[in-house]
Amino acid sequence: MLAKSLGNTDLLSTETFRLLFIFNILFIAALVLLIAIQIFRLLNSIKKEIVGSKLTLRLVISFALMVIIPVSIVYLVSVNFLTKSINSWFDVKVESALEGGLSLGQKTLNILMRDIELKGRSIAYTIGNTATNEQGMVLRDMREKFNLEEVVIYDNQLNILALSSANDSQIPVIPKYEDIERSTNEFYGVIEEVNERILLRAYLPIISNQEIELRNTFLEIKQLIPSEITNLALSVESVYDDYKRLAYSRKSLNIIYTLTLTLVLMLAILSAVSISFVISRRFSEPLSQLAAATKEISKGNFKKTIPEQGKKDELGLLVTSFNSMTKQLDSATQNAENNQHRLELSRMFLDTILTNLSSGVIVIDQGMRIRLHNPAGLKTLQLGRAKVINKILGEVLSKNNKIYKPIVDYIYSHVKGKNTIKGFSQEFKIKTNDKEKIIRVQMNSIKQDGDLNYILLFDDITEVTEGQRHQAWSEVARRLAHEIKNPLTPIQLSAERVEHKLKNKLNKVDKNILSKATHTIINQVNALKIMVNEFSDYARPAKIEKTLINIDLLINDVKDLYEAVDIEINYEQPQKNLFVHGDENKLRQVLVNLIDNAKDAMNNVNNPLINLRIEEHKNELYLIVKDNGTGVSKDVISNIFEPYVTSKSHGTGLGLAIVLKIIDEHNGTISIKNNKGVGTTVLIKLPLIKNEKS
Amino acid sequence: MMGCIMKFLKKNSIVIIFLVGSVFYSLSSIAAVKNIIVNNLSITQDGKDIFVDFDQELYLTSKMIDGLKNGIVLVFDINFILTRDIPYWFDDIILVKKSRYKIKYRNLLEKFEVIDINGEKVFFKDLQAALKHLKTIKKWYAGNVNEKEKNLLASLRIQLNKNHLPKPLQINIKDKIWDFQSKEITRYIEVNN
Repeated sequence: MLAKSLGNTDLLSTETFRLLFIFNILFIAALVLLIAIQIFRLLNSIKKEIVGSKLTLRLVISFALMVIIPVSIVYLVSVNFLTKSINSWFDVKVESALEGGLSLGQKTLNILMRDIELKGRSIAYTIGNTATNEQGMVLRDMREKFNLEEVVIYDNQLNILALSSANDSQIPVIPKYEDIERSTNEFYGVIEEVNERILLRAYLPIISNQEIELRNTFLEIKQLIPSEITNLALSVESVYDDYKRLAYSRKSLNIIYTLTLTLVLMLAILSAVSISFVISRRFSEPLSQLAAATKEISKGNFKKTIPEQGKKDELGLLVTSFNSMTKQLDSATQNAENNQHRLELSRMFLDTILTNLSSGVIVIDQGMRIRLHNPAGLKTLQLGRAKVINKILGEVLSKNNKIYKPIVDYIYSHVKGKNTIKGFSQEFKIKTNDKEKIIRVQMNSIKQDGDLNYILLFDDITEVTEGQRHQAWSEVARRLAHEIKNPLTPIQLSAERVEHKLKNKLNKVDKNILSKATHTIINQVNALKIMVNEFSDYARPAKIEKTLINIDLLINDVKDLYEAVDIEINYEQPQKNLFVHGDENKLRQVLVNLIDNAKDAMNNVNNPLINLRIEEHKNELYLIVKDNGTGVSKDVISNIFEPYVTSKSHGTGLGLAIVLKIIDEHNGTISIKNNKGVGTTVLIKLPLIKNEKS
Repeated sequence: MMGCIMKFLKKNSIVIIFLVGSVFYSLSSIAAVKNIIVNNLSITQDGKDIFVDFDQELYLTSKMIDGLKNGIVLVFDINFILTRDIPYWFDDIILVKKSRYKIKYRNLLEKFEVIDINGEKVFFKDLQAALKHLKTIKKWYAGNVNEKEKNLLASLRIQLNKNHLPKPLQINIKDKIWDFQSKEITRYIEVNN
């Protein structure tokens, strides 16, 4: 519309054009604003790292360049072409020709005017020398002779004195006073256009010989230019005017066309850029969704799918394939998670087993680096709660205790060979501060992912070994008791009978000898009986009758037994009565045995003192027997509760073994240690009965 | 509240821009240069007939004169409107009279051709004489009204008719010299007894 309005005045008014122009400007401004908003949003998206925004930007730039470059080229060519075309309209030759034509017309008119002047002077002269009554006739003759349109004689008051006209019906137009005034002394001509005809109007004074009569009279001559000449002259003038008008508005024309083209260019480019945003968004949207979904999947969200819009192009296929892939990934991940869960459960199960396993388990690699262990493993090797994973077993053990060196050496000797081993087992005696432990080490190798690992199984078999030993000793004692006890009575009886039979038959000396011999036999037999009885007690199977025992009363009873003995027994009575569930006789036997041992240990001690004390510790009762005797040698103390282990010169060495057995039968524990100064302390722990009635 | 306004502005931004632009455009039109001075305006009612007398001064710029010499015809429109004042409502237009006069340079004749409001064609050797010829308008018949009408308000405006200019000059929004017009002059009608 803008372009059309340039050529056709009637199509659009100037105001409409201006409105249209402003509307275009506003439309361009709106597009610029729209694009600015889109660019701002896009840059914001890029800043926020929204997936797909960079792709959209690239597409927008590509689309925009695809439009801007060719359109700009077309624009430049068009402007150049237009400017040259407009300039080509204005040729110097054309202008010269038109000016020449116009000048020719002007000169023709001037010649005609000159001709009128000559004719006018001739008429004026003739009229001036003609009598007044003949002037009208002469005037007509002269007009006809010179082929004039109209000839009129005026006086100075503009009164018509004589008139001759080619058209008699036409009333003469009274001339302007100033025209007459100008012709007072000379010729005055006017060229006019009347009814699309060029009219030559001339005025000149009439100079007469009869001066008085014709003073101040004027002649007016009118001559119409022939229509052919008029038409040609007006045509040249019209073309010349058109040309001049066009030339005058050339600059504006250039500006308007350039402006219009610029507007069109701007509209085209801005519209293209705006559309490129829409197309880019639409094009990059599935890819953005794909990228966003891929990002989600990389974060582990395999349930992410892209809405399928039913497009059957490559992008639609890509979306469908992607959704299929995510479905499969989700399924695979689900399976993997289930497997992981099962594995976790298995591992927890294994951990639980390992944790609750009484045997210590440690897994090491070929570099003796600890890979796995259970609490019992650390406990067995006295490592407490140390963090030992990935640490070398040898270093961990040597750092804590060098007594495990044999075990480390044994393990190292097998690991060094880097061979697979199966079922290797060895027992080690480990001496700790106060007792000896027996640890059995079993080794097996396993190969996992090409790496050789070793499973070490540690068992503290001290108690088992002790139990087996006690059982063996019990068997020995039972057999001894059985084999020895039976002949003892016949031996004793035989010895008494021999003495009785021979006592009166022998002389005094022999009698004494016999008496001493039989006495010795009987004494030794009695001693054997005592020993056999002790053996018998030791070997006797557990047969206890448990009752509720007030331990305070029991200790007081036992203490009373030793009132006659020259040893001070100090008993610290508890604040309240404490009860245990047990066999009173057996527990009395324990106390007596411990006090006897203490008494024996204080034979050569000044101010011998035995301290008895009972304490309540949660659910246990502590019975402490402390003396200030000579103590127990280090060699003996670790095995003191084993049969035939004693530091005394007399005795069977079964006393403490029997004590241990009784305490075991009461589900208690007993331990012995040398005091820091002098003497020993025996600690017995028994289950405490909190409620007396129970 | 602000949210609603912002939402409205966002939705109708193009419309608003267009409206604001139109207002600015209208204001710029109102502020056009006044180069025709109308003096001594008098409107007289003689019976039913309305006659207008006024003097006018046309201050043509050198560019306009140059344009005249280059074949441009200057056509001036005279708009005369007679209104009856209606309180609190739009004025009632009783009479509208339009007329025009032209100034043209005839290259062939090397004269300024003037066609006055009566349609009379007059030639002048120089422009000043032509303008002088146009200066005084006497007894211009504007039309007739009811004799009983009183307190009628007449307004007169003279302006260059740009539609008669070459098209590039009409639509060249950069060039304001062709916005050539007078102020709107208003007078109450004088009734002759």
